[in-house]
This record gives sequence, C-alpha cells and structure tokens, in this order.
Amino acid sequence: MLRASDWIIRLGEGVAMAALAAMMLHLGADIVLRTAFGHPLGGTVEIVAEIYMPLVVFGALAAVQLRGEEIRVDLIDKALTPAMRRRFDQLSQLVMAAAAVALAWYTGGQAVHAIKIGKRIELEGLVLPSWPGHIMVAVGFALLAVAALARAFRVARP
Amino acid sequence: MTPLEIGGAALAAALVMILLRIPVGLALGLAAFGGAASILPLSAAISLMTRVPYEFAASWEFAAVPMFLAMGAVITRSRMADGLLLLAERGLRRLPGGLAIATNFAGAAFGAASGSSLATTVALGRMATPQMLRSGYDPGLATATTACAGTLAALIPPSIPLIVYGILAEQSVAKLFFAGILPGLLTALAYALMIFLRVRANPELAPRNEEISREPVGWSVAAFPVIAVTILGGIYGGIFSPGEAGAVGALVAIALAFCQRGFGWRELAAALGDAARQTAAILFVAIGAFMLTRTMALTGLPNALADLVEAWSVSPVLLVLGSALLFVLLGMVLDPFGVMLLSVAVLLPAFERLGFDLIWMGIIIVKFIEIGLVTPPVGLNVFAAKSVAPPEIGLTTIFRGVTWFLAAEAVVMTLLFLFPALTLWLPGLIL
Repeated sequence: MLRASDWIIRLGEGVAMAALAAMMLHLGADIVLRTAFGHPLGGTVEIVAEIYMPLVVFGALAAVQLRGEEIRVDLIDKALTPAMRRRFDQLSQLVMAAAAVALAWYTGGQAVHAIKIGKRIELEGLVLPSWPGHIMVAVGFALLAVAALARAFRVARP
Repeated sequence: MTPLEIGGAALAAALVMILLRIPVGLALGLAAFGGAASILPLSAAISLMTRVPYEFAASWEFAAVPMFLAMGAVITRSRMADGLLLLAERGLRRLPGGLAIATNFAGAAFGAASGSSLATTVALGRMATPQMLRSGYDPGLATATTACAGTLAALIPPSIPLIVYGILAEQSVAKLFFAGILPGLLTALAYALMIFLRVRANPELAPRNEEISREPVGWSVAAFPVIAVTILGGIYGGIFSPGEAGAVGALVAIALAFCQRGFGWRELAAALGDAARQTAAILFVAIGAFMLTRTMALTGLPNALADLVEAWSVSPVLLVLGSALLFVLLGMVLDPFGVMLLSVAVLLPAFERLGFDLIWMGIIIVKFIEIGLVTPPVGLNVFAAKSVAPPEIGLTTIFRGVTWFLAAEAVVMTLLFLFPALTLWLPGLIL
C-alpha cells in the first residue's frame, strides 16, 4: 500500500518535471521566434500561467512532503526527546493531511465547475481548455494528503 | 474580538504553529483561514481561501521561480562551479586568507548563475571547505566562509527572494535585479576585507597555501559570465522579461552542462526534479502567506499600523531601525521566506505611507533575510554548510565563525541605509 502511494506521488513529480521542461522549451521557442522572425507563439503567457505553472507546483507538492523537504522550523527539536519528536511529527503530518483533504475537496469542486462552464484559453485560431490546471490543483492536494498520511504512518513505526 | 485583535491573534497563532514544527505554509494558511472565518461567514471564508492556490500558482510572474531554480540545479549537478573555485584560488592564494577570499568571490560569481543561497553554499562547501581545512584553516573561518558566501546569491541577480518580493510588493523584478548588484558586490568586498584583516592580525587562522592544485580549471568557468551577461543583457536590451530570462538561462546552462563530463540525461532529470520540488516548497509557503495577506487586509491591521506610524509621527529612521530589530528577531525563529512574506503582508503599507522607495526597501528586506540565513538558531545556510563539513565541526563552531561576517554585514547595512543611491543608482541609470 505504502509502495503504491510512493509510485503515485512519483508520477505526480514526473508530471511536474515534464511540465517544467515543456515550459522552458516553450518560452525559449517563443523568444527565438519573436526576436528572429517577429512571430511570437500565440498565448504563451496564458499557457505558461494557467497550464504549466499549476502542473509544476501541484505535481511536485506531494513529493516535497514525502521526502521531508517542506519548509519548516526545527527550533524546539533539541528540547524534545526522540519519542516526543516522533509524536510532534505525526501530529503535524495528520494536520497537513486533514488540511490537504479539505483543500482537495473544495478545489476539486472548482475544477468540476471549470469543466462544466467550459473554461478555456482563447487564442488566435486555437482554443485550449484551462481546466487541466484546475484539476491538477485538486489532484496535487489529494496526493499531498496521501504523502502526509504515508509519512505519519512511517513516523509511527519504530 | 475586533478585526484588529483577530489580525493580531492570527499572526500570533501562525508563529506558535510554526514553532510547534507545523510546516510554515500550512501554519500561515491555517492562521489565515481562522482569521477570515472569524470575520466572514464560514462559506465566504472557505471560498476566499480555497481560490488562492490556483489564482496564486497560475501566475506568469511566478514562472521565473522554477526557471531560475532549474538553471541553478543544472549548474550545481553539472559541477560547473568547481572550476570557478579553482580559478579564484589560483588568483588569490597569495593573499592572507586567500582560499577563504577566493571562496567568497566564487560565491558571488556562482550567485550570478543561481538564485538559491542553499544551493550555492552546498556547491561551494563540498569543494572549498575540505581544501581550506587541509591547508590548516581555522574550522570556524572555513565553514562560516562557505555559509556566508552562499548568502550572496540572495542579492546578486538572478535572485529568487527578489522575484518573490517583486511579485508580492508589485515592484519591477527587473529593477530589483539591477538594484541588487551593487549591494551584493559591496557585501562580497566587505567579507573579503574582513577575512584579509582578520588573517593579517592572526596568521594562524589561515596558513598560507603553498600547494598548487594541478587540476585543470576547464572551460566551464566561462559559463558564469556567459549566463550572467545573457540574463542581464537580455533584460536590459528589452529582448525578454525577467521570467523569460530564467528560461533562457536554464537552456544555456543545460547546453553548457551537456558539454561537461559526467552530465547526461539522468542528471538533467534529477536537476529538473530538484527544481520542481523546490518550486513547490517555495510556492506552498507563498500561498499560505498570500492567504494571510488577504486575512490581514480583512482585519485592517497593516493599515492600522500605518495609521499609527503616521499619527505618532514616527521618523523614517526610527521605523527602519524598529523594522530591522523585528526582522532580526523574526529571523531567529522563522525561515527567511516566512520573515519576508510576513513583513510584506504587515509592514508594507507603513513603508509606503512614509514615502520609502519600495525597490530600496526590497533590497534591505532581502539583506535582512540574508542575515537571517546565518544567525542562530534557524540559520539555514549554516545547516547547509554543516551538512557538507566534517562531522567533528559543530554548529557552535560555525556560528562563532559567522559572528565576524555579521560585523561586516553591520557595516554594509549602515552604508545601504545612509546612502540609498548605492541601491537605486544602477536601476535608475539603466532602466
């Protein structure tokens, strides 16, 4: 079960890495075409903001949590016994999981709404759906909950 | 409770949760939600807060963050910085404390191609610390040099903290980049002078290194000026925006890294993974801080603070000194991003009301963040320097070594306060 959760989280990280590479190439191509030929790629700003960025940020969020790379302050660590530190860690992971479930639920609702109203990016001669970004936010928070629960479980094991 | 009291309570709750090891982004977000739910109906508070993650992440301006992080990760993974350090050492080894001064300037050069202080410290520490220790350098001086040289990346463009500040304070990132150059170089010079004077007074701290490394410097050192000139030249020439400059810098770094031995597709994938995770970690904190900013706006606390500053006719100098004290105190318990994001959320209206230049203020705030990176007990750069130092060197030794660098920082801060032109002259001239 834990191994399965790790794979799903790695898949999310893979999506983030692919989106990052695509964003880099897209921006590079836009600059070259704009500067050399005076023809920029249409809708670069919208595609970067509404599609690539949510994929990068929310795709990698769970991997950050699973690897323990989240930004936090360890000021009281020295004052705690190892057992107390484990309890604090577990508590913090459970709070994170609860918050992530709530955020996944509400942002999921926003994603469903975006699909229902057909939210899209309209470019010259091209229409792209913008809901993938919305869905990634909800999926990212759901994966974050899985990662936090997996860490809470691992912390609890001696 | 009045909205103002709710604002104060939300800030206090955020600090307490952070101290209790709750991740910073989550602590800020929970405090923000609690504050908003105390003022608005629950459904309105939920709607207000849950819209922030998408609205904030789906941002063209923030695209600069993953791009510059990717550039830094590629440079770190390809070990291009190693040649830079060799070159600096050969040029400066005859000076008292030459290896430490070389490490310091290598940090400044590395900062020109990486926006991350931690990445710079780790890259420098891996190579420079063992070499300084082999040469008989004082462990405190050797490790503190790598910890402090890493902080130069926070000011010398491209800088991730300056991008985040620019977006939150609605200031031009291009101006902030150019404004950071002179203060960054001034800090590097102050560090070098301090090391020189200390070692001249006490040569035992850093015995002269007679051993000459036969390792070739390699062409990779040329990557740093190429990347820095490409980025700043492109922004200056109006060819691309700071965000696009990140993509150009990353693509140039990847092209150069592939010419480097030992860098292949596997390393590129690892670098992209590093950059994606660092982006997610930073933006998660920024999202929490933005939620808190919305709650603060609801409570009216920042404006009340600004009113108070105006009503009491607080002089600008006093406000800056008071804020400096606050930054140092917050920096002792919070991570640097937390300090910056909280201060932007709460203090910016007061600074604006007193007519401060917000570009200058951004550089001052980032300087304080830099200082927070090396002050106990939460000195992230010190922890990074420790992670690549021999295990027998304790944190206390490194923090003790850092004290001297803090003295140099005090001089630089005084100069930046007294002469704002040091910060504002270059962006005024160029942009």
